[in-house]
Amino acid sequence: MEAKKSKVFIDCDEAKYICDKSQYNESSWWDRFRLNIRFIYCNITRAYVIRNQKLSKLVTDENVECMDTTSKENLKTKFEQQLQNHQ
Amino acid sequence: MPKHQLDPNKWIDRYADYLFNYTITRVSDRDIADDLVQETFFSGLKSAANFKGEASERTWLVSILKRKIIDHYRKINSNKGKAEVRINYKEGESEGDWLEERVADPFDRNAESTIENRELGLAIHNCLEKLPQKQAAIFKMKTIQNFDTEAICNEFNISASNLWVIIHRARTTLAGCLEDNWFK
Repeated sequence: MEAKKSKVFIDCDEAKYICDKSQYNESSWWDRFRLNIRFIYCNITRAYVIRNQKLSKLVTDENVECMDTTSKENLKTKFEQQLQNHQ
Repeated sequence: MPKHQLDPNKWIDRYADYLFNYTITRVSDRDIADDLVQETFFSGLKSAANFKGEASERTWLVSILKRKIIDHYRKINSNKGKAEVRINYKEGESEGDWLEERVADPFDRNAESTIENRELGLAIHNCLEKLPQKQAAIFKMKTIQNFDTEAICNEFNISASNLWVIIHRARTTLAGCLEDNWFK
C-alpha cells in the first residue's frame, strides 16, 4: 500500500481525481507533483486539467450565488405552510 | 392541454438557487434577494390559477420575480425617474396577470433570451438544473458555498470517496453543458 502511494507515475483516473481535489485546494504537494508529471506526457490529462481549471475559474469569477442552506430551509418551511393553506 | 404545468411542491428545490442568483445580480443584497425570492414563490402560488401553461414554470416564476425587483426599486427610489427599471409593464396590470410571452425563455433562440443567456451565472445554474438533484446539491455546497468535505459527507451520509466521485461527475457534465450552451 505504501509503495503504491509513493509511485511517481499515476494513471489517468488518478490524475483526474487529484485534479478535482486540486480545484478545492485539497490535494497534497506530492499529488500535485505527480499530476504535473502526467500533465507533461498525457494529452487526456492535459485536456482534463485545462477544462477543469476553466470551469473553476468561471464559477469563481462569475460569483455564482446560491441561497444559504438555512435561508432555503426557512423558505421551505414557510412555503409548505402557504401550500397547505392554499390547498 | 397546456404545454407546461405547475408543480409547486418542487419549486424550492428546483428554482430557489436560480432565482436567487438572478436576483442577487440585480439587487446586490442577500437579505433582499432572499425576501424577493420568497415573495415570488408566494405570489406564484397565489396566482397559480392564472398560469396558462404557455411558458415553462421557471420562465413564469422569473416573470413574477422581475416584477418584484421592479417594485423593490420603485419603493426605494422616491424619485420615479431614478428607478432602475429595466422593463416597463402596462399600467393597471394586476398582480397575477403575468404575461408569459414577455419573459425570455433561456432555451428559446430570440434576441431577449440571447441577452439573458449572456449572464453566465444563470447559464451555470441552467446547467446545474440538468444534473441529478443530489449531484447538483453536493456540487453547489462544495464549489459555490465552500462547505468542508467532512460537513457535506455528514449531511448526505456518504464517504469522502463517494463525494469525489459525485464531484467528478458533476464537473464533467457541467463543463460539457457549458461548452455546448455557452462557448458555442
